[in-house]
Amino acid sequence: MKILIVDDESLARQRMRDLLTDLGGIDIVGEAVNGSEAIEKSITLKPDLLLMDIRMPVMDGLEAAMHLQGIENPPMIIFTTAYDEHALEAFEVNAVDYLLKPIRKERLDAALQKAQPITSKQLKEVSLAGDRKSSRSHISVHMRGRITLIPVQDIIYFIADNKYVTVRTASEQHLIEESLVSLEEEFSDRFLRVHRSSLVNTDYLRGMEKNTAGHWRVLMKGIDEKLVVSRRHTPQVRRWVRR
Amino acid sequence: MIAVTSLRSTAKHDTGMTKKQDQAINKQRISPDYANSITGILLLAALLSSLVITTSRVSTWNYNIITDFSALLTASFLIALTDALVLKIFNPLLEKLPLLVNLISAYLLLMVTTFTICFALYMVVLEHWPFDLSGEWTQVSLMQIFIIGTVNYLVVISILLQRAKTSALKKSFQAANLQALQSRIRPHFMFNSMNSIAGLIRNNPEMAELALQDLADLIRVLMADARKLVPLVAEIETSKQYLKIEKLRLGDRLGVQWHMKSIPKNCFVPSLILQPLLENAVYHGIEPSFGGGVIDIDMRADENNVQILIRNPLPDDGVRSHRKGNQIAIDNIKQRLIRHFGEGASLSSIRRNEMHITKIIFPVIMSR
Repeated sequence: MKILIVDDESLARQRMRDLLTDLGGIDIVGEAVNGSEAIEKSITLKPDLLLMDIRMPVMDGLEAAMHLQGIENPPMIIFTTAYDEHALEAFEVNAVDYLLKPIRKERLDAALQKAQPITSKQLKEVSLAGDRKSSRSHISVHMRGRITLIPVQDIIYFIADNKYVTVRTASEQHLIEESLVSLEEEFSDRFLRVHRSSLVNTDYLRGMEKNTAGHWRVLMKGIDEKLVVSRRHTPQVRRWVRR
Repeated sequence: MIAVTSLRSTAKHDTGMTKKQDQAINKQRISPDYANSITGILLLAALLSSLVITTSRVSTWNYNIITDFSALLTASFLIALTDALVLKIFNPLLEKLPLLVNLISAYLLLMVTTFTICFALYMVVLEHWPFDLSGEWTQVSLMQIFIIGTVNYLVVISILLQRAKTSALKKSFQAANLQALQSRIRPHFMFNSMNSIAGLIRNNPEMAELALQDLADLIRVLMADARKLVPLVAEIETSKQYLKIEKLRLGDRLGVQWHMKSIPKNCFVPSLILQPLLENAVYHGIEPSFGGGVIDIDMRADENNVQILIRNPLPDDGVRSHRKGNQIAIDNIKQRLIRHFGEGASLSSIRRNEMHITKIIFPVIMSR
């Protein structure tokens, strides 16, 4: 069995390595220090299973697991954690396996024996268990088996167009298959609806101007493009710009 | 709706949760519980006494006193039970109202009920009773009933409100205890440290031994009575031990710089005023950041005051939002500082140039 160890603490990775070596018959294909790296290495190293810590910088384990559902033959995942009271209740309920640190060898062995693929539905249930509104740190774009991860703070706007949503950063543009409504809901603390079909990252809002036809448009940092503000959303946008 | 719940749920446990509890306490509404079994008894007692007193003052007291008393007793029983029943029925509705509206509504309800019952008794029953009440009842009538009702109401309300307050206080006290405990020990830190030590045992037994000793010392301090005073140097030692354990976990990601100038040897401080702030610095400034950072502790003293500055970097925007502040820990330290030192002590923090800076000032006190 090919295993990728994912943990931000080097001693924790070392200990996992030791335990797996003790168990024998396991091929440790690599290590990753956060969720984002775990995704990259999952694509290149094609492990059968990830032993992944939940709490990590850059991108945590649960979000990485979610993004990984989009690749071809996603690896199985067993989560590891020192303590996550509320998440763990949801893990139990949704039969998602996890290991508590300090990890016991027998428990690790048992988990590996009965490891099973996780479904998106299970992950969603587990993610929502924090009962607080939660949002991704990255948006993943899937193309021909590859994943491109876009940090949410780099995204300037989302524009809906039929089935797809255009994601725009200062340097790139991608299409994702998500609904603008759910994006608005997920990132409501960061993005502002300026039009029926567009959400703008408030960090990038620079100002508003009226074009010759008398329509308001927003100016954004990093790009020259201007987005039309619908009449309905003008007051909110103006309030933001004034801040 | 993919999520970073793990960060949040743990953060929640450490901080947000207690914050929520705190809000719950602040918002906890005090309202009299009219459904309480005491209502009927109280009303009865109050009514009985006031009715008896009122009647005894009626000058034309010329019929059989036993019959009179039993008539009044029956009447007051009926009034009290009906009042209690009405309040009980309306309790769920009243509970939802703001306190003042609740009290006024309850009063109006009670008065209407009392009047109705008195009137009904007078009209239906008393007329047929073997004594003449006509003169007295009309004279006693409205004003008297009004006074009786009001007095009863005030007695009942004051007792029920007192009860509600006591129980709210008890709840908030329990929650505060829990918060104190949780803000002292971040379970995530504790178990991760144990995992690190478990790993070290086979690869570096000596380091494991040292780490275990540090952890034991730290737990000992955390479990001790936080109200007692300790030498400042001991608090610094605890903080250093704590940071050593964190360094074990976080490796190169955690840098620590101590600058200490003329720290008085026998200066005393409340226990755990520094370590929790450093824990916050690691939790918010270092752990969520990919590259980590340096925590800078600057401590200096003159003849009168000690000033401690703790600086930690703020992580990238993308991660920052996932970790909520630990206001409880900060408030707790602030409270203890002020309790021990009075207004001469302060704890404040600012954000400047992507840095979080916490400042503590307290007067030098040389002995207990």
